Amino acid sequence: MIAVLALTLGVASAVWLLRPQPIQLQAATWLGEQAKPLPTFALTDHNNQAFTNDSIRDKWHLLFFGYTHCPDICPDTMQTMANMLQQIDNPQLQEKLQLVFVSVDPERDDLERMKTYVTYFHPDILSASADINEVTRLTDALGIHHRINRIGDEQDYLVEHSGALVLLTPQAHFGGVFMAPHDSGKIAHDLTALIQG
Amino acid sequence: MTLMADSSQVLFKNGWIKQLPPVVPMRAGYMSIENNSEQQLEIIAFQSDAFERVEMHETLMQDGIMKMQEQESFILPARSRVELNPGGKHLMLISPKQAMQLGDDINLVVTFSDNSTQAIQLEVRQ
Repeated sequence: MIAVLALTLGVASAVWLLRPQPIQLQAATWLGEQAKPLPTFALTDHNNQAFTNDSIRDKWHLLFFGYTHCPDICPDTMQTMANMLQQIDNPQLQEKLQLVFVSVDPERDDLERMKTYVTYFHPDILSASADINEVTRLTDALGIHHRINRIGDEQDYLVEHSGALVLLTPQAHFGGVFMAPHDSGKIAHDLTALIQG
Repeated sequence: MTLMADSSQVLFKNGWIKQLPPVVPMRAGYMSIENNSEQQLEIIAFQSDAFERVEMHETLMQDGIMKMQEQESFILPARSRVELNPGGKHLMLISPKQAMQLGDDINLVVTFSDNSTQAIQLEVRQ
């Protein structure tokens, strides 16, 4: 009788210990099964290739929306993303993840400037943009705010923008968001957990 | 005798400029400013021969939105330290006139509200 009880308890505890663990996230707001399909969008990446709903399939994408003339928060966020990529420190995971800088200032950010800018921080970071209406179609769907604050035809204008990082799933869905301020270690941890499933 | 504000008791420490690729015509400058005097002081301008223009800014985050606001001055309360850090108060250095290498020291002149000045250096860092 005691042996049967012990065996039952043993099996029960093994089942309990081996149950699927919910992913413990440190920074991400993860939509999980609520991940949303994206509207149709068509951006161009800095290698002059299409960056669209189809091109982002089969990989995780982490998007940051900024502009190269942004002196303070954008370089800081780009540096955080580059550090985060190094902290993941697993080539197989890095393969499954693409970091993307999306310019919300396409008038000043041409492809060449964006490429020079993002690859300065890390050679594997991609950038993409399109005309402002096309960019806004995507950012509206992601809840990313941006607005050009320009007086007349000044060239040194500033752009206010969300500091959030948006995570797109390999199914090309809006999967989650990291709100600023960012901690590269926590983002690396969460992306590792999510990509490994 | 009038008690003069004494900007010579202000120490500028750990000043640096974030290096960026030359295609970017903006840089941010950061530092720690210690006012060791007994009076509140005010910085009204930064100037550098290495840039067309230097402005004082503060990044404000409201509901996750990053917004930069130009500041007319930086107030230094008596016996206090003001930090210029990424995501907060910073200098916006516009249109570099020269190529900058990591480790370069860039000269700036700080002007206080009593028109006294102090020369400082910011190191170009990664």
